Amino acid sequence: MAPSDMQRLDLKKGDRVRLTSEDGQVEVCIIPARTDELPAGLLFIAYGDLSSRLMGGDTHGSGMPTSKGIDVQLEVLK
Amino acid sequence: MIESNQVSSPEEIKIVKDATCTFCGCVCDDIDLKVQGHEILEAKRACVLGNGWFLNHGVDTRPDCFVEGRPAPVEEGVERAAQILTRARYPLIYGLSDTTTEAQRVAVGIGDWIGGNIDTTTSVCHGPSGMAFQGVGEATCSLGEVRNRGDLIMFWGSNPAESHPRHFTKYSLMPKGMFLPNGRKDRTCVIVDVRKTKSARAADIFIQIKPRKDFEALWTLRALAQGIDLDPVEVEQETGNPLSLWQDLMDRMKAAKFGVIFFGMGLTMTRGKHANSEALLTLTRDMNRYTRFVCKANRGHGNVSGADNVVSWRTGYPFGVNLARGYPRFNPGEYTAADVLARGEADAAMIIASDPMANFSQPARQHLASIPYVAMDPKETPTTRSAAVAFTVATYGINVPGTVYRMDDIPIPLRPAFESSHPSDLEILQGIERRVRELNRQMIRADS
Ligand code: SF4
Repeated sequence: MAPSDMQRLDLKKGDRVRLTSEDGQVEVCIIPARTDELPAGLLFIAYGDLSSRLMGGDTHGSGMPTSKGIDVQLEVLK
Repeated sequence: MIESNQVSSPEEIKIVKDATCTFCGCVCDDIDLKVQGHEILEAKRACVLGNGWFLNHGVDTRPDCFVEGRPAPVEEGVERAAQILTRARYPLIYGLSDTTTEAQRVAVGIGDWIGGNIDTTTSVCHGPSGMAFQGVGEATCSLGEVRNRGDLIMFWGSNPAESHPRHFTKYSLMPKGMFLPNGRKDRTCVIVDVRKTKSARAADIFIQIKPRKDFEALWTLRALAQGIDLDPVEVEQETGNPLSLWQDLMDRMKAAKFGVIFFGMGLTMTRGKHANSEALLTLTRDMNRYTRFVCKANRGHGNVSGADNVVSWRTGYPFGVNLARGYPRFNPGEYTAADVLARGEADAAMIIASDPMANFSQPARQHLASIPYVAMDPKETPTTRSAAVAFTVATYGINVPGTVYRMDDIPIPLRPAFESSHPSDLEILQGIERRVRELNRQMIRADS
């Protein structure tokens, strides 16, 4: 997460958040991005089990569900 | 070349020269392995990922085969697998990108005998690029040409510093080439991404675009290549970067002697998918009006390019192929594994060297868990755990010889380090194929 977003949401490294997409939900710990790695509002998660839980089954005729650039709502779990 | 592959005692150390790393699509075939018994002590020239791949491979003591979760003889597993596949009305064969081309070939053969659906992990990485290749073609070259000629190297939606760590040093940025005697100094590196990745540190120019705006950015470049006037406000709004920056990039692209665009899943996995890849392929084609320009998908798995090649030789199409009518039909979105499973169509499956239970969508995972399926993998995975039949197989490249295709479609031989007590994918698949053919013959006799 961009450090500016963490500041805005009063989050520190290791805090847990819930991410909810149109198709799924996961709970993860927050790690701050390097200063200019991510613009505000953009989160990064490695591709794998958790990220795949946020994607839907529909591939829009392409064979691949939209697996990146997914809109999520972030909820702070404290 | 294996200098000494005779292991007379477990303590004896042998050196396997020019071993092939199959961890990523770079398929580096210059690794010198120091091997003692069933342990690789050192992997010279391997990157951090390659070291992890080679050094963490000990002998797996799990049984060769499990049927319904209990250890069973391999013959029983092969029999059960053949029964599952021949009885199914819509069997799916999926995976294949982390095994040898020899095994891939047999897997496609089984798909043909059972009238099944064949798909590879390409469909969830560069499948959209595969669709785009068919639509507009691909101006491309080998990595050797990049090394010897490429003076403008672009990466779009790809982070090789973390996914293909030797890409820069072995092929694309650092090497001194035939026409680039000063190596890195003779090349310009441009990286386009939504995130300032580790790779961005290697770039001369880093362009951070807005998420889901690859298509707009690529079409901006296409327009500039043709000298079309664009509205600066609109360009900046859409791409997140000023028109002057895109114009500067286009000027550099036209001035290059040999431009290369490597592209990754930042392009194919986001909204637009095959339309994004198609935009990049057509931009590359357009650039050939001015200079020599090529593009290349940065492929992930060690033999995912082999899977595309083998499925293409055998069926005429690279992935997402249905053989139910006795001839191949290709239709991504219909015959691709993510769809066949999420829609609940497949009634049995065989998963080879991949882990859809860990990285498919929830509806696809739920359906796979509800049908009988066969899995083969060197390690225990969520997919092998829920399989009706699971085989523990030897690891390609480390224990198993054969052929793999580098990401630029160059076939490369494997030089294994030591033998495994587990069977190879190829041996298991050959056993299943034999039994499937016998069962098919019995069914035909029973029908007539
Ligand atoms: S770059 Fe890829 S193939 Fe080469 S050593 Fe590293 S992981 Fe292996």
